[in-house]
Amino acid sequence: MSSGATHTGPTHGAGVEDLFRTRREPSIRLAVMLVGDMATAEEIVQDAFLEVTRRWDRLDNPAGYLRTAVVNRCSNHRRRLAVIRRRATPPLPRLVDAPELDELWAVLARLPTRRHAALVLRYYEDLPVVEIARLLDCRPGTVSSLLHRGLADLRKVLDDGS
Amino acid sequence: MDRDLDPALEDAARRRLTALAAAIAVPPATAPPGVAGDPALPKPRREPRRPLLLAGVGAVGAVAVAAAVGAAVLTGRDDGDSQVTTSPGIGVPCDPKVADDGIVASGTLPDGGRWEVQVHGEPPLVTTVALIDGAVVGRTDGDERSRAPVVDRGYFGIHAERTERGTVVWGEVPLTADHVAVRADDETTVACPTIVPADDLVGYFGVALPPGLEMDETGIAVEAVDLQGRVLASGTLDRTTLREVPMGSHSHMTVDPSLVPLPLDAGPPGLPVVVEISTGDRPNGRS
Repeated sequence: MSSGATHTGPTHGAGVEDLFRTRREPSIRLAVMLVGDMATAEEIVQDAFLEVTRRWDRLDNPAGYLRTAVVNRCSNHRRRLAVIRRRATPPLPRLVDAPELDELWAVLARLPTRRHAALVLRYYEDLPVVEIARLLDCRPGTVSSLLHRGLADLRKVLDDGS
Repeated sequence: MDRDLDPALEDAARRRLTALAAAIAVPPATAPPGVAGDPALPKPRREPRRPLLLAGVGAVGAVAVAAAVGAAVLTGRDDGDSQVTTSPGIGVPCDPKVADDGIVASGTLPDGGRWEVQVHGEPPLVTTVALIDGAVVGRTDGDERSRAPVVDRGYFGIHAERTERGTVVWGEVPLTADHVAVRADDETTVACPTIVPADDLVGYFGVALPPGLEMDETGIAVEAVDLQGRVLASGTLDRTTLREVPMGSHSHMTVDPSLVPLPLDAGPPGLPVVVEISTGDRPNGRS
């Protein structure tokens, strides 16, 4: 998926509005894919837009910055959540009424944070490995390794759904 | 670099993840955030600051804990330092904290100097550094050989550097730990573990003890404790080494395998599925 909007910057407000119009929904969708929670995803994207707005005049690529901000916030949220879940007795998952998607989601949600993020960024966002490495602050080789392990984790549910 | 990935499996992943994303119903927008002139727009959220339970005990975070009566105290400055002293099992639990900048703990020494513990790199090549006023006083460099015992056997590294200005203690900790209790001379300092973004399996902690501590016969005892007060892992930094070896003291905590499943990379417990999914024919917005 292309990052879409670029920084045309005729006016601050118009640029932000254009970015918001073109990137809000895809950003929320990406955030939901990463954190699994609509309300949290909306908050994350809202916060990310606010940060973009504050830095607007210094950004060459606001859409790219927005995606980086969303991915970073999602990663941090999942890490915090994982620690909280580990400390407490894990609540029962709330299942959704879509068995084939539910199973994929359940497997995806159990993956370690970076493995999960690498899969979503590569196979949903269609980002190149180098860009994923930048977003996850690791080497491209590490991304390849994360994808390899992530696909292995998903293999059964992917095979079943083929 | 993707040559080892199965193209058919990759295609299947693309199709299924796209279908999953397409099923996510995004609610309509109201207005872009931060655009001037809209007072109804939400303001950025701020992390609540940890309340000071007892301030001004000392500039350095090492004070006696009345463990028997469960007295809770907090030391260090209210500048985001992770150093909290409290009695195990009660009081304010540690909030999960992520160190985006690699600084897992910091604080102020009695002489006004600033100490820090930083973690950099990605596993297994993780470097931990203890600094005082920006100068490195201690450092560890990890590799495959040092990572394997941590992941496979739960040997969490603990380190201490003793200087005339204070002793910095730091190390690795199970992610399930709520706090880390560091005891020297019957004084217990408690630190909150911190996550670093690159490491999904191990947390990190750091504390500074004041100078002049006469290490008792057991040296410095370190325990990782969970919210229920259970000791997940424990270890000791040897007194003799601390006193006599200028290179510092290095040891490890060993875990209770009944409380910390090994190996650590066996996989975390499942996260709740709380996504709202609709199963209609909505376009996913992708080209």
